[in-house]
Amino acid sequence: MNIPDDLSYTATHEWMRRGEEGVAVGITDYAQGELTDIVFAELPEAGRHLNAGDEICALESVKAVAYVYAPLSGAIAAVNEKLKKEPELVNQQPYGDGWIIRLTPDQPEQTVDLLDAAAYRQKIEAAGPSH
Amino acid sequence: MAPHESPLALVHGEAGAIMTEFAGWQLPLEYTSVAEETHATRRAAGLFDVSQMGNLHLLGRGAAAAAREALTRDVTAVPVCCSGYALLCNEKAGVIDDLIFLVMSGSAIGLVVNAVNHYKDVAWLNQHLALNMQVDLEDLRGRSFGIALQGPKSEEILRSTNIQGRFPDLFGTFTYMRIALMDVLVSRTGYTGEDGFELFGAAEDGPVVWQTVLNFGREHGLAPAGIAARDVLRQEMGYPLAGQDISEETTPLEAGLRWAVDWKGSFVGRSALEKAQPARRRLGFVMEEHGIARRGAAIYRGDEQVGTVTSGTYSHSLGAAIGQGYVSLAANPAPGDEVEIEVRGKRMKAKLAKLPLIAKKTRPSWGQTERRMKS
Repeated sequence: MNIPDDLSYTATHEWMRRGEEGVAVGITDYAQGELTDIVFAELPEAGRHLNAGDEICALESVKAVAYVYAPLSGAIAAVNEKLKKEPELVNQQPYGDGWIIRLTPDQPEQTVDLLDAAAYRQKIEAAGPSH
Repeated sequence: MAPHESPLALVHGEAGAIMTEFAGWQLPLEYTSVAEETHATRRAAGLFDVSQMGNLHLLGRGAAAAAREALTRDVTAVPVCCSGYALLCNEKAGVIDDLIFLVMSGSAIGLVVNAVNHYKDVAWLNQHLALNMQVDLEDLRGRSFGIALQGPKSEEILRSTNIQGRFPDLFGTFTYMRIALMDVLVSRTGYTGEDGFELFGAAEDGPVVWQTVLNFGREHGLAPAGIAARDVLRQEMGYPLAGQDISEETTPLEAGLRWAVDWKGSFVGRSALEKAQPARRRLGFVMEEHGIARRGAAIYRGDEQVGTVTSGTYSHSLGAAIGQGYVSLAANPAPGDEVEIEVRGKRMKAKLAKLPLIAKKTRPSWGQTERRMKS
């Protein structure tokens, strides 16, 4: 299970990475593994404002539909348009080219409850093996 | 209740398969990805564990007559070592299950049934055969393996495994061969629309047969494939899944399975079927927007609901979400019609389509050859 130390996580399996161009958001390796082959990413429009906990978009796999939630409040600064044609990037590189949106935070401290890598690992290990 | 383990459980574990529960069995969901496994099957070959399928035998001098009475096909007219697709109907002509019958001899008929209906089928057959002293029902549950080798390279792969015995040349025929010194019934049938074989034998021989076929097949592009890929492949072909696309609530006519009914001789459900007035029709669809229409989704034309989805998935071969469902005949549905299907709370555009959605590539069957010889 790949859980990079330098990211923050949510209980709903999103990750966020703070950078100079805003906060990148995606879903974790665990989440993509649970969904299996993602075939559609229904992406949001750039510019839209989200509150922490709001739905960002839906990811659809053969197995199920998963909704992705905003880890903090802010405006959508960028959308990973590549996912329209290649939604499988979320499976292949969940922390890299499979990122979903970048947010410009309203106030960086307005977040949902975040977990560090160790706490997130503990959470999914406590949930038991997924298969 | 803990799920049944396939006799191939150990080899799946070693291959790193993600396992899932299906119809009371623990089976591989996928090994790598649905995309890779479906592509391998359409372009080279895929290897599937189908040990969950029920393996029943009707035995005794009354076996063929009993099968005629129980099934929609006239098994008495089928030559030895030939097989076919048939339905088990109730008195109201509702479909209890669909199955493959194998005429093994004048006094032995094999029935390969769906795991989800296994106990129901056995109970129903026992009930209807109770007074027939000339036939006995044997259930091989837990004692047999089933392996499906499917795809254009299937014959090449099977021939490369140093098999001994005669090869089944036509679709819907079977022979007995030895693979890796194990006795195997090799049937040229399948659930993918590709040429291919289904192998059946004693449970304890399963792992050796699986590993042998896989080892010889790798260089031909063979990949192990899970039930997720199997479900996509059968949906591309428009094959119904019993308990989902056909059930006791549907008749063979509504399901578009009239071709699987022989009207010669009597069989359970016949009189109801003769009187049946289908009110709906099973059709395929292809989504034109980005969403998978799943089981239970409503199909609309304008503001009116005209049908319901029974199966839906995503086809990597077609690059679109696909599925099947029932559409009311009152709406006069036809392939090519524009409809809308509810996905994630939104109505998305779709087109009704004739099944199969991908051209069938199986060999000519024994029945077709027989007809050609007669004409």
